[in-house]
Amino acid sequence: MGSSLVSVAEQLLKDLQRTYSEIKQIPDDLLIALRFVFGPCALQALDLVDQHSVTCVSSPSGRKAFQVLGGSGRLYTCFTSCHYCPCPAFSFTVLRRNESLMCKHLLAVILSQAMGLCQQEQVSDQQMTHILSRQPEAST
Amino acid sequence: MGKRKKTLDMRCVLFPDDVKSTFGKGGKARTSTPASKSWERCGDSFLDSAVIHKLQTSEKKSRTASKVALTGSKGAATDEAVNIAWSSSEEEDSDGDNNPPPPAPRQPLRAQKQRSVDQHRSLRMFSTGVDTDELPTIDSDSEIEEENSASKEHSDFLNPAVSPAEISDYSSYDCNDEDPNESRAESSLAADTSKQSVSEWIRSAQAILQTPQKQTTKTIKTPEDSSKKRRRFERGGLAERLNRLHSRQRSAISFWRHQCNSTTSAADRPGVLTLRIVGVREECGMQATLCERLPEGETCVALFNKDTAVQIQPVPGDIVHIYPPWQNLILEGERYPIILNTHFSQKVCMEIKAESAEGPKSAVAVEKCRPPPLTRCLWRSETSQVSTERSVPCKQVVELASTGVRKSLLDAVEDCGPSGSQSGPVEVVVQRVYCIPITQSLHRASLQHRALAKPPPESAQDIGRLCALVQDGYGMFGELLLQCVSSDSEIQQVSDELEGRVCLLRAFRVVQRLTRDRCPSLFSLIDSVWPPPVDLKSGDDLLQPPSDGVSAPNFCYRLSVQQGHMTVLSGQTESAVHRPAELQTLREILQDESLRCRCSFQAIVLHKQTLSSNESEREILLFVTDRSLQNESNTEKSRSVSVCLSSSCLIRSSVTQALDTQRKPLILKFRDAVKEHGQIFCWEQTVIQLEEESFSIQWPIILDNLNPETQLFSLCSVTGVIVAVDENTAFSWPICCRCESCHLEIRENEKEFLCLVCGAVMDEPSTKMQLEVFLSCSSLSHCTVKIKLQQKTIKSLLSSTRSSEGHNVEHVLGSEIGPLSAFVHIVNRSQTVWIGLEELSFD
Repeated sequence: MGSSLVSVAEQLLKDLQRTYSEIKQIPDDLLIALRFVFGPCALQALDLVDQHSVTCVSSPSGRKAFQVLGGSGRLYTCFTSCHYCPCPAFSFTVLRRNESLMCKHLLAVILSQAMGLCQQEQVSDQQMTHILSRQPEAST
Repeated sequence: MGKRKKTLDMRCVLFPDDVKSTFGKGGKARTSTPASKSWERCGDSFLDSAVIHKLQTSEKKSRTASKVALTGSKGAATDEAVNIAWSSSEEEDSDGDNNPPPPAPRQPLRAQKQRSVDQHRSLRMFSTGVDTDELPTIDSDSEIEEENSASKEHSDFLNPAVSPAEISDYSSYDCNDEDPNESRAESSLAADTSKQSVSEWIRSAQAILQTPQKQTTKTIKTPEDSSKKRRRFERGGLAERLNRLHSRQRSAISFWRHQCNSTTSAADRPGVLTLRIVGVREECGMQATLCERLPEGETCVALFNKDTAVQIQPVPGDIVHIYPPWQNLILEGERYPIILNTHFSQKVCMEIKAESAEGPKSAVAVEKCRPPPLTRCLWRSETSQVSTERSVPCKQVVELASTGVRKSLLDAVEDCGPSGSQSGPVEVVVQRVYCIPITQSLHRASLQHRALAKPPPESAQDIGRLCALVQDGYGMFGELLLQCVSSDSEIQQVSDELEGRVCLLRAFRVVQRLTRDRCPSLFSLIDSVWPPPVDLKSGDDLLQPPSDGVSAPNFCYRLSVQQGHMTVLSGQTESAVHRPAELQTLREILQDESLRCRCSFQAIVLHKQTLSSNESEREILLFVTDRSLQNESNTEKSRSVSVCLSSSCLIRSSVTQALDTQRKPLILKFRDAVKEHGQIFCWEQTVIQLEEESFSIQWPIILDNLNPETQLFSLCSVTGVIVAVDENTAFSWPICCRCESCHLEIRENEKEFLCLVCGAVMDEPSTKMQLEVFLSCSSLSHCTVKIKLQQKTIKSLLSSTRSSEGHNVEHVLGSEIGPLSAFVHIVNRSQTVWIGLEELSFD
């Protein structure tokens, strides 16, 4: 059986994208709904969005990845095709305890995408390879 | 409000910081009224000053309060002191922040989290216009900045050089404060107050007064700050807005909860949802409860976040009131509407035992929903957005449209859950109906016990249990255990009623999940009805291309259905999915090369041989033939085939009777017999029926000639010359003419015989003879063939040699007999071939 929370989350994100594309603003009720559905990470995710921390990295090969500058200055790479973030909060809260739908980085990526607030960056294929293979890189 | 302002003014004058620190250090009791009165008198004088009046009118809740412009004059008059004190405290009050007054005059700004709870409380007392809930939460950037600046100044400004006693004097002033949280107690400090002189106060005030250090350093948000509790959000950003909204909501919730405890709830207030909880499930930290809306009765799902869930502890059976504002969301693809924003929820305790629950309630074990797969992204970019929308499960929508009847057996089985509850209804096609012997069904009933289902009561006369092989629209199979039957006619009736029809399975329970390895017999039947003659539906309810390459499923479910829970859907004659059994000739069946296959045929029974009459291990061999095998042109295949009836196959009483009476000719129809390694078997799914004369056969029956390869337990035709007679087994005895019983008694006159069984009297009883002879067959050399002859053959043999003394062995020797039909019951190939035969007669 499906999870109703997941469906609500999907619907909320769709509504958010639609509303934002129309009025370039998120009304209060949607904000509160975000907090209700996604929990405490919603506030931190919005903070990351405010600070334009999400970068959409693309390469000539057509690959895309998302890099989020976390609060501690660390860069986390999330992908378009799967629901995963390498941060410890995700491993613990989402994977281990199943207490939350996602971490703040993932939500920031999703919100930035929905609102079109991602920074764009072009990298070479080789750099993209490095990113995708999670090789240790300079964080800032 | 004015009164409060006055109070504030007084406080300002009285170095509120010192007063606060007093409270912070353990909440010193406030002084009683007499002391305060004395203080008030003191304070009144200041009130008269114009400066204070002016300050009174200023906004309390001023976030943009200007920085204190403090003059550096140390020897300020009280007016100035008042001025300065007022401004700083005003800022302080509006900011709602406080730092403990540092012992040294100039203390660097302390970390904000060092603020103690007591200080908060004291702050609340002083801060009149600021929202109390803002204090413990993350404040905005601007606020913090000002707090920092203010508090810095403040800390510098107010040096707690005064003695605690003095401070407490000032604290007595707060008796006029409206904050109910603060408790006041009488203390001996009242006495101290009177001793205090105004001049001393001024001196101490002046000591504290100094040019405050303007705070220049801002705390920069360093990378390590992410661990700090307090965050500064971007001004005007989304986070700041959400923070504000959320704090407001939190305070509203706590206020409401406080109110709820004191007042009784009125369920009939407009906008209040009353829900009865049916089921609780945990989904990613939130509790999703399946509820019934009272009094309308419609089902919905309510989502409660962690805090609310801890507060109300939803348990099936509870009644919950949800006060507005809540939100109702109807999503396509979701069965029920979802209720969100359920912060204002209250449980109505109905049962007494709920009230008596004391202490921390142990967490009710709640089923945790399977986490959503990581492959499912909640958000996709525009390109794949379309595909997401398309893949909304249409199946569910279609199912709901058709009055809630499921089309998928697998879904219905999943609904049963691990607890083995009932599920349904499902639409299925009945492919086969068969009956298993009662001994077999007992074994399955034991499994049912495990599945928490009550097996149907078996009466003593029950001969078997009906089973049905069903298939749903998606190709999934299931074996249904239906009711027990006690007669052949019942079996036939149900078979005729259900077979090939589309039926509605209203309710069923899962007994077992069967796999190909565990149940090869059932899966050989499934293979025989696969692939289906029409296209099946795929998951999207789209017709799949003909499933030629698709192999039959490797698993299915065994379900138990109570009587009456399965009904035929009217309006259908026969379903297109039904694949009836094809009748084949025995020749075709024998020509089939497959290792194991199901076959159906009609045949004449030539001979029945019981190999083991033990009830549980009953094994009967039936020798059958049909026209295809008897045909002249059949040279490569044998003329007769043996069919083994295993104990798992139920033989109807009509068939048993026919076999016992040796009614000739006996034609039987075998459906779904199994041919394995060249041998035909009847297993539990095989149905044997009596057939009226559907075909005729040319008599006499032709059988294979006896040859060196003749197998044990087969029929053959033998011709040979008698070479010896087994005298040990040569008998003759009288039998009754009428009933052929051997219980005869000689009457007294020694002339008549009386039959004890039927009472007939006869002069000459009939004679029964038994004779076994050894043959020499031309087709077999170096083989000893012994045959037990039938009555007729013996008679014809001996009649030619009849003499008065009896029968002479020598006269028999050398006679040629045959061709005789015989059953090979012993084959011994150890040293020389030794074959034992039994003559059969087919007339």
